[in-house]
Amino acid sequence: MQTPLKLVRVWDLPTRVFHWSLAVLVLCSWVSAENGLLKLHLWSGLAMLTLLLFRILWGFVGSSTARFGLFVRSPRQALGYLRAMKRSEDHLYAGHNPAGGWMVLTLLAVLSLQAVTGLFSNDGVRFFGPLAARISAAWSDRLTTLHGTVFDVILALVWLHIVAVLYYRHVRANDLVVPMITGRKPDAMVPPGPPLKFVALRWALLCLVFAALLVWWILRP
Amino acid sequence: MSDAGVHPANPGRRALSARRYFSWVALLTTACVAAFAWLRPSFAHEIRATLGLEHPPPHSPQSFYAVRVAPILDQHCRSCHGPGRQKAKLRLDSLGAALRGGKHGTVIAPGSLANSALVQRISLPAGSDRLMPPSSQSPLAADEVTVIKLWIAAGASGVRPVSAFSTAPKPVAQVVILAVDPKVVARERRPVDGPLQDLQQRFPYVIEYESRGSARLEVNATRLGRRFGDRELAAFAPVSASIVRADLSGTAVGEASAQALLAMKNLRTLRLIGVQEGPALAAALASMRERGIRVYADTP
Repeated sequence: MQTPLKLVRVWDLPTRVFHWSLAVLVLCSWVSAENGLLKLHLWSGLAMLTLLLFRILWGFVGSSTARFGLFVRSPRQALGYLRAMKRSEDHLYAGHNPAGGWMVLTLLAVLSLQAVTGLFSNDGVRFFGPLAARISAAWSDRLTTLHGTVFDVILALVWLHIVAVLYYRHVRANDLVVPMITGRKPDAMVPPGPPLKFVALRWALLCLVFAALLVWWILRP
Repeated sequence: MSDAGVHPANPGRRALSARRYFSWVALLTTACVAAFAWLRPSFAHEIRATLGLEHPPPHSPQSFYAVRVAPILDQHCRSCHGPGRQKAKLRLDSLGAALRGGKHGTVIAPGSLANSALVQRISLPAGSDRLMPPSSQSPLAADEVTVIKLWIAAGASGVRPVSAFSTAPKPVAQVVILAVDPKVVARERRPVDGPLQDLQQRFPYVIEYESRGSARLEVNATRLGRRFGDRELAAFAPVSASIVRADLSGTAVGEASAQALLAMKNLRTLRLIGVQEGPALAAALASMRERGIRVYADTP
């Protein structure tokens, strides 16, 4: 008889909610932009900016697996990890692996750039980003073009992210999706070591409120 | 761990081989790119252009498109659908780009007005949210819409000559406003500047350049009335060749000014209402009228 899997908590609730909310907001921003729903696009972008600011804060004060200091390794380590993976060697990590850590940083940077350029964008007809009037029309046009180009980069990164996650699931038999929903991984997939630390939810709420206030302060008239 | 098999840390799962997985990824990626290319002709164009497979449609500079259609698209559409900016990834500044369409597909269906989004968007009633050009810009004239419709209905060709469109509205004469080059203007004004300053000091507000971009002069002595006579007009001799308009109505100029007026070789308009005309002045005015100068005086 198969023994039931022992599960270990690896992801806190704020990180999981952030991850899936961001995925929904990227999709919402894409669909709204394609269909000319620019008011929805604006709100989606502002929500994304708030979440990104929250995640940056959470990367410094959050739980063990959310902290930049713990999952961002040197590029050499990330390349070493990829080489080891090519040799079919398995290295277990409770949170992000070294290559995944860099993917998280890249996505955060590119999505932040996208959210910020969106604030200065215009469609030349009826829509002007909340900060578009604070710069010249020529710069607003340049940032609008950049906003469109960066989206293609985001699409490519999201595609790469999904390909990597499915690779782990189907080739390495290491499911990363379910833990990002439930927050728990099988004990056998987590390396031995000191127990992970989880920060209380109220601190996440505080970070979220701070991020929202920061966005409000940036956009105040 | 082997490429295919069971994960040692998770024995409950069977694993795919990496080769098979990445074959699937390559297949799916290709399918996605193909779907994108199909849904967005501009994306397919970018790929073809990158591969050097893009061939522009045939077009000639004497075609109806080049002579009548392209100028309309340039004037009304290029700012948003041109080289600087491509709203909806659509460009209308070349025949190839216009026929290719944007991210929402083609906008010109050769031979079919009903299937041409371009025609639909420029034909909407004023005030419509979807009208092109948008309300913030000047709309197309009815004749311009007709020209575009005729061109698309006839197949949106780049080579059909103007003569093939006999029912097209006649083109409106174009007014070309040349850009002012401050350096050129300064050079043209140089010979006049010195004497002009002297005259402006002596007769304030009587003589000015006709515009910021011109070296030609306008004279209006009406405010001086009878205090402006033949002697005063003689002082304008150094700049007389640059004067194009002169209003001397109500002044005291008379017979002695006939030669001074004739010396204004580039004069276009002269007003002499309320000025007494002797024979010499009348002869001078007659001569000026023959030269095509518009003269307004008490005697016709």
